[in-house]
Amino acid sequence: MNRAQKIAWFNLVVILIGLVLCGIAVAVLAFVAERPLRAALGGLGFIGIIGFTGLSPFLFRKAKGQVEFDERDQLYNMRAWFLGFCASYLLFVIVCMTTWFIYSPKGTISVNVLPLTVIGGFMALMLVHSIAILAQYGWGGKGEKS
Amino acid sequence: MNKAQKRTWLCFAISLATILIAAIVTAFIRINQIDLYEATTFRLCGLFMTIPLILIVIIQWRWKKVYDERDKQIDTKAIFIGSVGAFIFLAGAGGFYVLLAGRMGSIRASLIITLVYLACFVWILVSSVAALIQYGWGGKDGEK
Repeated sequence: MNRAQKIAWFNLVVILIGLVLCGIAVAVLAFVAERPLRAALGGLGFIGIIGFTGLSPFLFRKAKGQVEFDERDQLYNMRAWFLGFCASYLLFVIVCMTTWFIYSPKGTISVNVLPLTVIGGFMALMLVHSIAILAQYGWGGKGEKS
Repeated sequence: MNKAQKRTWLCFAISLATILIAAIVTAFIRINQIDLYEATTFRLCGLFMTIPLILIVIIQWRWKKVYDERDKQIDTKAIFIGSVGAFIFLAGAGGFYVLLAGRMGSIRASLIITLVYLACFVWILVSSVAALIQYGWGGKDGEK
């Protein structure tokens, strides 16, 4: 497995763990502890785990003197980022249309929806980028190392 | 200036004009305390917002932008840089409104759709600027 694949796997696992923990925390708070929904949404704090994706370039350092990227890697990377940004923009559009239909244009929503949408967009970006990288390189090692 | 550059200049001009007009209209509405959600005003704003979008869609569909490998590489990099710019715009706007309204404040539901719409034009503007910088802003070698 090359470096890009390792980083993509790491990011994918971290994001999925964050999402699963969020789901479990919210479900436990809402249904087991029988807290009101507003309090149960505090379980979304586990989203902070996706911050660990920032460590991936340091955890998977490239060896000194090694060529990190060739033209193929650059093409795959650009494509993956493009798909990631499309996914994040799609999420923004879904959130805005959902609030439009639920609250109507004149209705008001909590200002906290904006930063939560940005965090969700970042998560969608990293998730789709990782999946795109793995889909292009292959999900497992094919003998190339870096 | 080659055809790809001319096309990019046109997208740049339309996106910049849209953002500037949106800023001027917003300031005008706030200063004169016009009710944006009054039926006629709302419909007029909605109608005028679709014009630049239609122009951009026509340009993207009808005008070829990639003529050789250099154009393709410039376009790919410009799209990436434009995407980063739009994301930064949305994140910055989110932070700005949180600071403005306060943590317990509220905003109009229509604000998010306006931000997403403007982010589209920020994307076009930033990617056009990135492409023009890579091309060199104008014809330097007489290419047509």
